[in-house]
Amino acid sequence: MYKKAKDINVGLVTKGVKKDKGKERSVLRLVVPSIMFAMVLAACSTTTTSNTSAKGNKEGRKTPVTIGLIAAETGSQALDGKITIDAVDMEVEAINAKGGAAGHPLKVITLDNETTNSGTVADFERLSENSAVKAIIGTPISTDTQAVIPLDKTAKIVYIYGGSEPELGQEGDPWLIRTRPTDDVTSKVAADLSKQLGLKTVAIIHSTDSFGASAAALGQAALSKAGIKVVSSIGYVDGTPDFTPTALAAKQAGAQGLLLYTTEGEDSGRLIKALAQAGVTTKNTTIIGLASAPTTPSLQIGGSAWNGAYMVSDMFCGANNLSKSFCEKFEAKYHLTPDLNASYAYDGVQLIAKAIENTGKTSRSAIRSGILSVTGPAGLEPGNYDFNKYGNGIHAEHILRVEDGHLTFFEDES
Amino acid sequence: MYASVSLVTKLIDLLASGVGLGAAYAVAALGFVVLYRATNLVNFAQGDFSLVASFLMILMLEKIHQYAIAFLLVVVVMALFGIVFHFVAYFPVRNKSWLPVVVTTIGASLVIENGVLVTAGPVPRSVESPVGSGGFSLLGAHIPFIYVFAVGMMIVIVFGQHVLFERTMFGKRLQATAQDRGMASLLGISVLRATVFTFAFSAAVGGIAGLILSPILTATIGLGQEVVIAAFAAAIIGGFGSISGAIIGGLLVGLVDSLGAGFIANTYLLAFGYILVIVILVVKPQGLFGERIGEKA
Repeated sequence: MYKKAKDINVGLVTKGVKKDKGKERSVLRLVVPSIMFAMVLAACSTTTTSNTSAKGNKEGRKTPVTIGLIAAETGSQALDGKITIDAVDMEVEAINAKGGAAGHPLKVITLDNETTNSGTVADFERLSENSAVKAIIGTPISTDTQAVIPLDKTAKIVYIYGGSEPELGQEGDPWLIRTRPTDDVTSKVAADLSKQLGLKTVAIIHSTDSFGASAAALGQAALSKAGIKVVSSIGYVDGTPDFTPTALAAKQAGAQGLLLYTTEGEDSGRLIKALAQAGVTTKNTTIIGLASAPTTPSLQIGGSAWNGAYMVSDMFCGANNLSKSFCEKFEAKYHLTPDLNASYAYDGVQLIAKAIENTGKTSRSAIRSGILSVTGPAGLEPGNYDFNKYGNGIHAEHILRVEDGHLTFFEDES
Repeated sequence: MYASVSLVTKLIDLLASGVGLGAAYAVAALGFVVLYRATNLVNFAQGDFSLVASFLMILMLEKIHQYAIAFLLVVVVMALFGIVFHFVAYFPVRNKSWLPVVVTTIGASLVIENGVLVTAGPVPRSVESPVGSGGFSLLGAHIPFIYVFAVGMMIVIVFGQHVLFERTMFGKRLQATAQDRGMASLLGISVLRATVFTFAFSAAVGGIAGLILSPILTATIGLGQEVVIAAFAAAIIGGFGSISGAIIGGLLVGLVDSLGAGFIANTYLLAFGYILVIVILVVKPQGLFGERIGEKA
């Protein structure tokens, strides 16, 4: 016993003497590799060049056209990013299998923005500086699109995005192409639906982030214009662990209808469950979900609490034959249900391909003018493409209803 | 049309959610504090034990359909995970100053989170509640069973921890090691064994916190960060190093968030706990139950 203790004591003293440089080096040897390893893991798929080489490319007929793709592969929106990346890869593969766009095979360079605005800006700089990249598909997030606009004005490259903040298109960047409806279109559709359902009073629950706050204000204005009284506007913070206070506030509002402007799909699912626990269900209240409410995580987490709710969404697998076929292939290949994170990017690829086919050119400016001249249906988004002076191409929404945990078609509205 | 909510009903609803979540935070904080007491280590990867346990539970339930067995297996695996964590992330830097040790835990946290992302994918997963999704009514308020389960688990763990540390010779050795590692060594206590056990215990408790929280919050890659932030706040409020402080701190974080959001401003739900942290740091920097730095020295 004594001997053992003595040995340990000596060991401790020896270690104390051996401090200094050797020790610091050993610290570095341990700490630096662990951080490096973490960073490598985090960024293990940071840059991906898709290998969807075309038959046309093999035959060596025309030069490939490279599309840059910025998406979240890590961070809180990694699932959204995965759906976007998979949708783009799948569509590029399909176009290349048919010989490419006017014989030009498409290639994709994917960069991970790590679910940060700064990541998107850094990715944009890398992609726009690469002369081989002819167009960039960005994220469905308005704030990072806002951050990219000053750079895009200088870089002069088509930036296809899904952010729904209406004012983004009015920032004076002629290279911005929006492939989703804006929040004012969505809010008008939600207000019209509320009126159609005979609602006199509505409460709004919204995320307090820039999307949620702005969209809720637009929703409030649209409802007032439709003659519907907004009795309460309840904000919550993204990622809140407890929706009980929010649900109780909604219950206290005593409105006939609830409009949910949620940013994160997980939050939508947790919110609808908390509402149900508080006694606010689709049986006693008309619930209309917007933004992330009709997404896969929201429906998975919310489960049966969503049954009977209405959804305003720009992506619906049952909308038409193209959507059905796309969703079937996507689900078979990736075991995920595609949502709006897929549709805006899918349409982006379609628009680029159509632009190349229509103009016969692959320059950045030709792709821009080619896209802006596209009219009619061009993909998964609802309605027809008809670009206005702000680069907004889509002006309609699907209205859906949740039945037995699945989205079903209610009607289209613009 | 539903009935409007009375003040009493609202208070009970908010107390239930505050205590339920607070109990889970308390369990997470307990793992945090036990490790700190034994090693002086502030482990920023503590929340990742909850993350790993949540996804492990999903995997286990796919193979084993009995919750209790799956629960025990996850706890055992998490204890082993804690031992591996000790030898990989702590043991090599155990004699360094606090900074490299803390940085190593941050690095380990990144590795674990991205490891889970690569392995399990980014899809948020619902985790089965051991007590189902129902609840009971109390004066018009709905009390979900999962909150009762959370409080029950907290009581069991606190009791178990008390028995282990206070009523067994092994526990006394652990305490001796926590109080003075050098003296414990001189007395023939295996510091290594005690430290390894503490990591295993901390990871198992962190895992249990994850198993309580994931049916409420769902299992997402961000779960670990949510847990570590709440546990850190609870530990500061209760007094870093105090077991009872961790429990009270966890409950206070849950209650203050819930009641503050319900009665003051819903928008600031996440802020109320931190306001309390600031108040405690100003008024009683050592925390509600913490010892003064001079006393520790």
